[in-house]
Amino acid sequence: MNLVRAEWSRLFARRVTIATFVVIVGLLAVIALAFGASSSSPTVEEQERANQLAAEAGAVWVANRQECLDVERGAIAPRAGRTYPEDCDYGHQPQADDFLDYGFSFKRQWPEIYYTAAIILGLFGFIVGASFVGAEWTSGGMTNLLLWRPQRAHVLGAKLGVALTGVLGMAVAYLVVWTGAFLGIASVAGSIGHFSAGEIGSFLLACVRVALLGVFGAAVGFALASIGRHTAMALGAGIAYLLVYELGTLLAFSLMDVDYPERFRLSSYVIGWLTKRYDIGGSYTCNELDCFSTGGYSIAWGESGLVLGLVAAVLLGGAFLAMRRRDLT
Amino acid sequence: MPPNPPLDTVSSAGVSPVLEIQGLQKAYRTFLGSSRAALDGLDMVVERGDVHGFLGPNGSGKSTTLKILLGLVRADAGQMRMLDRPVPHSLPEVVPRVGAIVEAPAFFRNFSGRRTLNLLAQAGGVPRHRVDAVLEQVGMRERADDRVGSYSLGMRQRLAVASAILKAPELLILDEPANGLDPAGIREMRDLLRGLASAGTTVIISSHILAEIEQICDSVTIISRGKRVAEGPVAEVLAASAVQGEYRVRVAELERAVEIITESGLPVTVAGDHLVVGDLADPTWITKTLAAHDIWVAELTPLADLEDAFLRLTGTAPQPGGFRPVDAADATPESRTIEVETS
Repeated sequence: MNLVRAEWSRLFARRVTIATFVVIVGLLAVIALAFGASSSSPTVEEQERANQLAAEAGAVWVANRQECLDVERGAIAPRAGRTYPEDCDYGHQPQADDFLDYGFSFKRQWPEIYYTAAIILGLFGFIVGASFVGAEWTSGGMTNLLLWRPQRAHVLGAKLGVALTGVLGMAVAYLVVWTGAFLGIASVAGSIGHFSAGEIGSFLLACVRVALLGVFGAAVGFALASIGRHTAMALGAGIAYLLVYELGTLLAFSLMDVDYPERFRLSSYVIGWLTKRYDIGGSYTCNELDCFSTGGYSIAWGESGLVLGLVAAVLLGGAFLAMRRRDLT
Repeated sequence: MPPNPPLDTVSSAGVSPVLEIQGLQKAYRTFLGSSRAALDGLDMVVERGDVHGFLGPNGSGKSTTLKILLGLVRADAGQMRMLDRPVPHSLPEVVPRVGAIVEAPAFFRNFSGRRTLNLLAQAGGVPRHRVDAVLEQVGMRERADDRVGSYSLGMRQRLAVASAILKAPELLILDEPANGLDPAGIREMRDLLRGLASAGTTVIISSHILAEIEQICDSVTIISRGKRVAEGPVAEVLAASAVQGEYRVRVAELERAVEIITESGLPVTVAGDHLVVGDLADPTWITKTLAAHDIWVAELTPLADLEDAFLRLTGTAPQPGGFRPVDAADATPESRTIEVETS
């Protein structure tokens, strides 16, 4: 417990932790200012027009979905040349907010805003996690600590626990400020929109997934820096992965005619985790006789979580194994 | 390699040594499979309450030995006991009683000295009041709240020593503690270590400042190429490694003394402010002979100091016309191992 308390103090006394947090808060300020400056509240006429368009589009949405459901359960024959989405998923039912394009609608735009937060927090977690342990290795702090606590797994575990908990705490605080900032902008220069109980639940779950992505970044950064005993090792490996693997495999797999090469990229699972489902190509098509899938590959959030968790677990396993076996020369 | 018999040494004083090492072996291997032996069956004993010098040329295995003792490096073979417990197995139990600095100590540059020690104290369950006590002890009270990045090398060294004595250890292991210290700092360090030793702390010092070791240490172990080449009380190691019959003679009238000694057929050379006389079977002859000519001997000592002994035993004496490669393969130490019985 003493060790955890000491590591907790060390995490929040480090300049990199503080500076990185200040940078991401600065980013929030810049993004929020940009939204605030480019938003305006809709006039009564604009709101009425949006309501009218939403009612028309909503009627089409209901009709299409009903037809699709009827085709799926065999009540009616599919129309020739007509395609139907899988699970009759036509997205959300159009609402007035969707037709207020010039203004900022929190309800309509929150997913994109929180995906931005997810990227920021993922990078933040990666840097803080990597630097927290990487600097310990390069400064000799780890060796010093092991002279006091010669239990390697215990020491690394304490550092990891503190890094992940610290990043989670900062991510939650950041998302609270983030949400407050955008709700404020929406109420002053846009619209918040009406959220049903289910939509609020969905929003909160999205926030949880965003915060956990920050924790994932911290775990990966921590593991890479610990294996390489240097913060730069993690940063280098991260950049190399993005440039060499993510771009390289996209080209290589395309040349090799591999189906859905995106499924071999970690970024696809990050998208799947954030958006709940990432569809790669394909569609659900019906002819005169039957409906069938024309291919495609879907990554659900559960599968994404499993893949991301496995990647983090494998890298952290490598870090603990290296810690156990290596000579600290 | 067959296992060594268990260590259960008890010194002649009836007290078990603080540290015993037997047959310690370590080779560093590269990714390509080649290996370099760092320790080749090292034996070492440090008695309780001693200030013990641990000496050897660069690459001789000193740091590796200390790192193995402290669990930072794994040994290939050999046995070790520290404070009556087998290590590294029992290291977690022993470590609260051991303070150590290994190689160049490094700290976060943007933390203050006090914060650095507070974090270590917190991690090690040491009472906070010890931090102020050790800062005072190493003469850092005034600079304790400055950033480590603003410290000189000597100040960082003091901080390292402060971190090592924070636990009020029974055994203190210091790798080059005087590194970067100015002459006053070296003297303060010497006084500090003497104070700790007189309070019952056993101190092991690895250092290249041999004059300092000679002044402060009760006993030494000298190693070369991963093996012990000498051990025992400093005076006895010096005596045993001295060249027989060679003495340093200090007198006021060097030229007259040279004439008198040369007439008797003994080899004599002037070395700065003193003479070196060889083939001297009976050193009292010098005193009597020079006194008969009204020349009074101010110093008459066997010609050996720790530096001479070290260079001779480790085979690392500088050769004219070039630098000796570090950890040179051809640096063959004398084949004899000097082991001096402790009384």
